[in-house]
Amino acid sequence: MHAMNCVRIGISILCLISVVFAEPPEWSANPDVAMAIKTTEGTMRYNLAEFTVEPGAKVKLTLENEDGLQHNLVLLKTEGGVAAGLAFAQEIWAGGEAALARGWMPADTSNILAASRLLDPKAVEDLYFVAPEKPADYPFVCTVPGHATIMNGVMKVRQAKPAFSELRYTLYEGAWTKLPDFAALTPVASGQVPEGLVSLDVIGKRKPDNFALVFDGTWEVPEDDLYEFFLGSDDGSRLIIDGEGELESDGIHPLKTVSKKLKLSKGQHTIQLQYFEATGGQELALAVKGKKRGLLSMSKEAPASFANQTPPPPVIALRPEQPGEAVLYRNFIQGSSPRGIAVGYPGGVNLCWDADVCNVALLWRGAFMDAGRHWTGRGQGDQPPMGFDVAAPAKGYPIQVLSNPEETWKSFSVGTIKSEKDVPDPQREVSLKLPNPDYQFRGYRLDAKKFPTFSYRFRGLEVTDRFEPEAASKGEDAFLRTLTFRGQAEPQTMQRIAIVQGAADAGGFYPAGPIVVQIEGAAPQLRPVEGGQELLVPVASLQELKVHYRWVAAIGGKAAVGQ
Amino acid sequence: MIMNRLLIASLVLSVSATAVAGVQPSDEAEFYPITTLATPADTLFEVGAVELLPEQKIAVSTRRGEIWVGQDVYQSETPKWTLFARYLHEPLGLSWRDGWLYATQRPELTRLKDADGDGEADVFECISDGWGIKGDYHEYAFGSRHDKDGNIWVTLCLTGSFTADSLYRGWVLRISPDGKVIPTACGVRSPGGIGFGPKGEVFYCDNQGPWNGSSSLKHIKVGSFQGNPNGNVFFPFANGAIGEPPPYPTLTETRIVSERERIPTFVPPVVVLPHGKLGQSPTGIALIENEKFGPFQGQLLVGEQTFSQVQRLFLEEVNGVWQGAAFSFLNGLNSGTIAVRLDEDGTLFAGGSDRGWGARGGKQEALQRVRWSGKVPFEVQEMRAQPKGFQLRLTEPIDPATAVDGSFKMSAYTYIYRGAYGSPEVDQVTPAVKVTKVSADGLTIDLSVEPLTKGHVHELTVSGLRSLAGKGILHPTGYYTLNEIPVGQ
Repeated sequence: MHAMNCVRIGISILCLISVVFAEPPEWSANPDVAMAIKTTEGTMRYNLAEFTVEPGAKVKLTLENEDGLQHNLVLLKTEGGVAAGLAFAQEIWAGGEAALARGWMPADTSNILAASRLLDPKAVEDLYFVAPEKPADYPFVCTVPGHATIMNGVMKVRQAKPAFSELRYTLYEGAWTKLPDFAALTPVASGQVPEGLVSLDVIGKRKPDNFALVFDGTWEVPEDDLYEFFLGSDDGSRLIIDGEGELESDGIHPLKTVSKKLKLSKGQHTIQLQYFEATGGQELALAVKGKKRGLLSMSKEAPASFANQTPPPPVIALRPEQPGEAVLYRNFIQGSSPRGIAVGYPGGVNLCWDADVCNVALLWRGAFMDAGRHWTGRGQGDQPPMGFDVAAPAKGYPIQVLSNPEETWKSFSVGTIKSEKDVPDPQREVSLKLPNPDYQFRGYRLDAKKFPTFSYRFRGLEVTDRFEPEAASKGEDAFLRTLTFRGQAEPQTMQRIAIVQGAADAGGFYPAGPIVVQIEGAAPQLRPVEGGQELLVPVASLQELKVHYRWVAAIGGKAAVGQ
Repeated sequence: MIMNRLLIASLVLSVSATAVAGVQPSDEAEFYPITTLATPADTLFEVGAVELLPEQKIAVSTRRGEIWVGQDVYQSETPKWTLFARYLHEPLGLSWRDGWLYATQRPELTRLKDADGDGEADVFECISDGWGIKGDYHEYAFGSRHDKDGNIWVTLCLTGSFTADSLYRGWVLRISPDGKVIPTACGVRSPGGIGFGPKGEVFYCDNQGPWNGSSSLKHIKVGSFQGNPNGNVFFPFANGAIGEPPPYPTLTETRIVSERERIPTFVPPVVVLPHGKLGQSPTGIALIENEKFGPFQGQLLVGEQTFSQVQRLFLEEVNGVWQGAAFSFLNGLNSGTIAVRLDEDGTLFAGGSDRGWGARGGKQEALQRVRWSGKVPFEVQEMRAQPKGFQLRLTEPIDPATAVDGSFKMSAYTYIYRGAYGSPEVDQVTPAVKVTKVSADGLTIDLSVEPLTKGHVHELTVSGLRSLAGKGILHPTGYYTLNEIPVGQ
C-alpha cells in the first residue's frame, strides 16, 4: 500500500506550491539555532519528541530521513501540542485522493510554519523558519497516513529569561589540580554579571590557563518541583545550592557532564558555582530542567548533551501469532482509561475495550499496537494505536437508566481529592476515577481464535460484549459487535452506541468520525449533544443487539455518507 | 595461630567483596549453590512472580504479561516451558487455589483457568478492580498468595514519588474470595513484594524515598499506618474501614521513634535494610518454613533488585512490635531479584529483571534455583534483643578463645523521618560491646551493649570470632532494628 502511494507522490510533488517549500532566507548562513531531527531507521519515529527555541529565533532545522520509508516533517503555527498535530494530520488523511495528489499536504497551507518535502529514504533537507513570538507548544508531524500517531513532537517556544536575578563573579588566579579552598584565597577581580547567565566571558577576554571563577547568584524557583541540574565543565566544578554542595565534577578532565535531581521549593535559592581551569580546553555550562518545565539554561554555553535526547524505545509491533487469531495487549493506551484491553483482529481491524467503563473506547484499522514503550525501560506513558482512522464512537459508560428523556449521559464516575501538606503542590485538587457501584467488570473469555467476549454487570443485567471482523467490500473494513443482555432491565435503560454527526444513509449507516455505524434489529433513538447526536438503543426488551462499524473509504479517506 | 586465622578471614571477606556481576561468590556457593535455569526463547523473561503448582510445576509471570508453566524445574537446568496465559498487565502476584491461578495484575485481581483443555488459559475472571490507576508506571500492584481466610493482600504503590493521584494508592487492600475490597492499611510508599511470616503475619518491603529514610521490611497490621502520609487522602472513600486518618506527621524533620508516640497506628519498619549497605530496593519475601533450607527456620528471605541479592532476616516480637536483624545471604544473582518463592522441600526459586533501573547482575531477565548443599555455613543464626544488649546464636560452636570483646564492633544510627527523598544515617552512636556469657555448648554468646538506643539500627560486625574449626563468619555484619528494648534484667 505504502509503496504504491510513494510512487505517485514522487510525481505530484514537483508541482507543489512554493509558499510552503520556500527558498533559504538571507540569514540562512547565520541562524540563531541550527539543529537536526532524524527519522530513525525502522522505528517510525523522530529522534526528538520536543525541542525548545526562543521567541523569534531564526532556526535552521535539518531533517535527515534515515528510515527506509518516505517521511516528511510539517511544523505548524497552531498551538495545542501533539494533539493539534495529530488532528492536522488526520484531516489531511481524510482528504483522500486529493491530499495524496498534494503529497499529503493540505490544500490550505496557512497554518504551516515550515514543511519538508516528502523525503526519500536517506534524503536530507534543510528547513528555515522564524519561531513564533508567542511562547507555546507548536506541533510537528509526518503527514503520511498513519505515521503521525507515533511520528509527532512539539517545538516549545519559551522566553529565555535570565536564570539569575542576581549574579556576581569572583576571579582567582593560580595553578590547581582540583578546586581550591576559595575562602583562603584573595580574589584578583569581581563584579556583577548583568546578563544573569554564567559564562567564562564575564571577565572580558578569556584567560588562557590557571584561573578559577566563583559565581554567586540567586535563582527564583518558579514552583515546587523536582529539578534536574546539569553541570558541564572542563576542568573542575562544583555546584552549591543554599550552602549545600550538591553536584561536583572536580579534578582535571575534558568536558564532562554530571547531573542530579533535587526537590526545591518555590522561592529564592542561593546558587554558587565554583570552577577552575588548569591548562588546555575550558568549558563551563549549567542548566536545570523541571518536571513541569523544559530545559532552562543558566549559562551562555550549553552542550548538546544537556538536551537530554534519550533515544526512542524500539518498536515491538504486536500481531496475531497465527493466521485467523486475535492478539491482545493490556496496558496504558492513549485514548482509553489505564484499564484498556486492546485487541488486534485478523484482517487489520483493532479496538481498545476500556474495562474502567465496560465499553469500547477506540476502533482503528491498520497496524495494532507497539509495545516498545511499555516493555523497555520503565515503561512510562500512554501508547497510541499503531494504525490509523482511529474512531472513538462513544467514550464512557455504555448503559444508563434515563429518569427523563433529557437526562444527560454520565460518562465517567469522578471524584476529587485534595493533597495534603508535604507534596510539591499542596492543596492541589486532583480529580480521580472512582468505582461505579452500578458496574462490575467480570472479565473475559477467549475462544479458539483468541477473540475475547467481555462480561460485565450493570445493576441487575449481565451483559456480554463481543466483536468480530466482518466481511466488507474491497478497501473497506468492518466490525460486527454483538451485545447480549441477561436479567431484567429497568424501564428506560439505554445503551449508547455512538455520537453521530448526521442522518443515516439508505442502508441505515450513521457517520461517526472516520467510521459509519449501523444498528441491527432495534430502532435507535437520537438525542442532540455537543458534537452531534447520541445514538441510543432501548435495552428493555432486548436479549441481543448487533452493531456494525465500518470504515467505508480507502485508507485515510473520508467517510462519504449521510447524503 | 591467631594470625593465620585472621588471614583466612580476610581472604574469605575479600572473595565476597570482589564478587563479579552475575557470578556467585565461591564461599557462598559451597553452602547455597545457585543454578541458572534456561528460560523460554523468543520472549523476555522478566520475572514478576513465581507460584508453585501441583505435580512439581511452577508458574512464572513476566512483565510482558505472560504466565509460563515450567516442568522439570526442580531437576533440570533446561526445564520445559509452556505458555499458560498472556495479555495480562504486568502481574506481580500469583496464587494457586482450587484449580484456579490468581494473578494480581496492575489493574485488577484476576483468576485464570484453561477451560477447553488446550493448555492455555481462556477464562479471565476479574475478582476485583477496586483500586485506581492513573497511567503512571509507578502504580504497581503486588499481590500476596491467599491467606488463611482466602483473602489476597494487595499493596499499591503511590502514583509517583510525591503523589497519590488514584484511588487507594499507598494502601494495602484485602480482596475477599467474593471480590470484596477490605481497606486494610495506609502509609505505603513503593512496595517491592509481599509475603507471610511464621504465624501468618503479612509483611511487605517498602523502598527508600519520601518518608522512608531507608528501605525496610514492614509489618502490615490491620489498621496500621506505614509512614508515608500521601495516600491518606483516600480515607473518605474507605467508609471507616480502618477508622480515622492518622495525624499528619510532623513536618519538621523528626524520627520515627518520636512520631510513634504521636501516631498510635504507626507501625515502625520491622527490619531496616540500610540503604547502600544492604541493597537499595528490597522486593519479594519468602518464609523459611522448615529445616530443609538449612538452619534458618522461621526466618525470611528478601529479594534485592538493584544489588541482585537475597538477604536473610531474623524476626522476633518484642513488646508486641516486630523487629529483628538483616544479614547478607546470597550475592551474584543474574538479574535484579524481584520474586522469591521457597518450596517446603527446600528449593528456592528467585527470578527478576532490571526493569529499566539497572541491576548489578547485569542481565535483563533471570530465573534461578537455590538449594542448601547440606553443609552448614558459619553464620550468626539469630540476633536477639535483650534488656541490656543482644544475644547471638551461631550455627556452629565457637572457639571460646575468640569470644572476646575485641571480636565485636558496633555502631548505631537512625534516619530522618521526613518528606524529602531518603535520609542519611544520623544520630550516630558507638556503643561499647562486651562479652558477658558464652553458653556451655559454645553456640550462644550474650553481649552487653552500652548504650542501647531505641529506634536505632544496631550494626554489629563480628570480625574476630572463629568457629571451633577455625572459620570466620561468612556474613559477619548484622543490622538489628531496635524498635523496642525488652524489659527485664
